[in-house]
Amino acid sequence: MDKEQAQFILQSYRPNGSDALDADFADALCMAAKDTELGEWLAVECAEDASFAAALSDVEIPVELRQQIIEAMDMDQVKVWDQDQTREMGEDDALDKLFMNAVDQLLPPRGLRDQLLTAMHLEQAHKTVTPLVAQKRGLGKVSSMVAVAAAVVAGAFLAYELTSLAPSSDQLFESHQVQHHAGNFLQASFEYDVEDDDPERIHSWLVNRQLPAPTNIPQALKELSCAGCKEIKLPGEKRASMVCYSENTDANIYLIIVNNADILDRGLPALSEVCVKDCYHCKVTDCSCARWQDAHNTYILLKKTPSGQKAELMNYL
Amino acid sequence: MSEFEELIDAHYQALYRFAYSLAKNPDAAADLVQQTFCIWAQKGHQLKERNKAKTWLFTTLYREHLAIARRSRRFVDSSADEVEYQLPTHQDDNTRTLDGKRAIALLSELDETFRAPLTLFYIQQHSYKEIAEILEVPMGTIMSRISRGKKQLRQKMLTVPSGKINNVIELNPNKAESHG
Repeated sequence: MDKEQAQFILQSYRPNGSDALDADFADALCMAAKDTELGEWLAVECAEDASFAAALSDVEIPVELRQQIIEAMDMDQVKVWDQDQTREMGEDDALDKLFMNAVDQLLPPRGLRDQLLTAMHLEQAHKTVTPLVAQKRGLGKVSSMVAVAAAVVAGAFLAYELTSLAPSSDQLFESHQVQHHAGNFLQASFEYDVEDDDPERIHSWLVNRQLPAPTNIPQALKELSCAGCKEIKLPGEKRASMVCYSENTDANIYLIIVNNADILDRGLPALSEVCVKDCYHCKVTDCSCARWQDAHNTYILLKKTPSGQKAELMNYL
Repeated sequence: MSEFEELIDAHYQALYRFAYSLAKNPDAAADLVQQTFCIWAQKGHQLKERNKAKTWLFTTLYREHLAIARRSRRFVDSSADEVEYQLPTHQDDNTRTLDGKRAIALLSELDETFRAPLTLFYIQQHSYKEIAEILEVPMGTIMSRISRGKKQLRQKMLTVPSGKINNVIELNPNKAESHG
């Protein structure tokens, strides 16, 4: 760790000393204790931060707020602030929709390579899912113990994520949940339901089984050969499709198709509107992802790439 | 005192300050806090780890803010007119006392990206890891945003409304490096 890295880390050190025992700051604090200049900088930084924090704590709280909160908890009279309309309290589906539609995808800022590089070292130390061992063959041919362990952990996480909501035939999912669930297959050995390089036959197979079939895919994907497809079972007897496109022996691209009736997301871009900013790297599946919607389906494009290469997906869009 | 009232007392003030920095409006901030606790009353029982209630509340409040902002299609900073009544009166001697209103005003002027993590940092109730969990971004991203947010904040602290730099000592995070 050099001085610049230590400064970067210590800028997140709370001035009230709450982080004094946090191991993440130990090395940087130790360096500050030994380096006079760094120590002086930290003293000034903490003083400034403490001053601002003290000012923020002076923000006046409306005296009636506490009572208003308590009064608002009258369960018979709470109005749900829904996107489309105001509904009476008690309609759990409206509350679920309100809650689960709230968050937009947050993307990290571009650039700042050096700062992100330092921060990523900390990130690696706290990852809870062991990343896959590098694969020489396609993702469908994993055989290492590390990958199996990762699949177990990922599977447990995904099982919790999808089953923490009470499954029912009315269950709807956010697209990232489906992406995580599908990604679980990609981290372990799996077999296609159909192995075929003919996209038309794959399409027919999906249609015949009343599975979501791709009708709106990028031209670049159409030009790739297919490897096969698989039904993705979701809780609540919902079903999605996964079609695998093969670019070469080392890289597969997966297209997940979900019926819009099973998806909570609205406002995803149309295929023609997808751009680099819509591509993101998922820590859970360690895949780069892009999503789009048409009138019937939601599409999720997945490819195993390093986190800094998510824009590579644009080659297929 | 009920468990619910205990929860309110423990967190509503910090939630209000966080909401105020996001909404830039005391009434909207109060609404956000109330809505958050309403959702807690309806959904909080699903939280399996009760010691995660604080993080849950802040995450919920932030999500509500994003939902409101998305509905109103106002992901841009408010115009000066909207926050003017919150800004402290300009003092002719160019000194700026840093009080709660000034702190909120400064936070309101920051880029949206920095405002939430920096506010949570200065509330001092959350480690950077907890902030990452609340805002659902990677920890490294949070560190980066805190770092850059502070730079932007301090630049704004040095600037009076006329655009002039006041005569307080400039605090440069890299000051230590520049010493000979």
